Amino acid sequence: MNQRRSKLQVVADVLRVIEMEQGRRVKPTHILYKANLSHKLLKEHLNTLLQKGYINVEIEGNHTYYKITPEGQKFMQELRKIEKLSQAFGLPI
Amino acid sequence: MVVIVPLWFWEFSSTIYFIAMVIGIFLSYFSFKLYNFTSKKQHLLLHIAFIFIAASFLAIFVGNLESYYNFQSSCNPNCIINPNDPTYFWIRFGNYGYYSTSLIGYAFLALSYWYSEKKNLRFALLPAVGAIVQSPTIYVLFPFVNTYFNIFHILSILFVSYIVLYTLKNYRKTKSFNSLLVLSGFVAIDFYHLLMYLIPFYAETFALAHFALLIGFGSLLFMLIRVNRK
Repeated sequence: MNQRRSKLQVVADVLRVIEMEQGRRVKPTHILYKANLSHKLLKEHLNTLLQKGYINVEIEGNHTYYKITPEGQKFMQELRKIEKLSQAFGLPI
Repeated sequence: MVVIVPLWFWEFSSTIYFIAMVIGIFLSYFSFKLYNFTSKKQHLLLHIAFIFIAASFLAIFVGNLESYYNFQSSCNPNCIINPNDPTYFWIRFGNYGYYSTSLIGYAFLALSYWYSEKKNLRFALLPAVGAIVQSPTIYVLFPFVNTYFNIFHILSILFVSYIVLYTLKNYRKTKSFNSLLVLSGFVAIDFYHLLMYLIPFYAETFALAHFALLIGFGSLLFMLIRVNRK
């Protein structure tokens, strides 16, 4: 049985989806689908990431897009190292 | 109680303790970074464990330096060090400081794994029960449990074996090279304690034990390098 993801794992999954687009803007529905989140949770996490400056938001008409910032990329680099370390010890994040 | 060191290995052990201490500091620093990211209790326990382990090697390093300085005349053909000699404060400080801080470190390490598995109590408790059950066997097989030195190494074997079980479970799950390095690191540290226990039988095991310790911490350092490279 799969364990529930921690808050950090969910944040990482959201950022990973945005980062995978390699600088392109991402629609929230795409993140919702790829990160396997409810609308409410996605909104919460996107707000947190916006507050921390890891992502930018662009609004065009009725559409909202998200893009990763250099700070977000730096955070992801560190997070990848942390994930590897926790995986090596078998103490999940 | 005396510790017998082969002459050709004279002073190498201090260097190995120093290397283990430095790697212990690195491990505590990176586990703190891990805790800083996750704020999870098991990562804090991991950080505290490595602080104690690094401190234990600092203590034995300091103690060993004094013993080498004072006991060099006794090297014929092996060097005989008496950690209980009341004349030498640093030797006693080093040894007993090492025994106590090292055991605290291992206990924290075991606790961090136990804490991470608390949802699966059966698995968490099995190695603990196994460790308790097997301890009389060790007493029967090795009837030399009469000093702090021996008790320390037996307790360390039990604690580290407990950690090895978790790292083995993790390796079987992830099949990653980094988790294999952590597993081999702890297996080698377990061997270090086992070989140290066998010193009364054969002086060369002192050198073999320290090589095992070096391999153990080297393995953990290699894992840290792999994790932190871009």
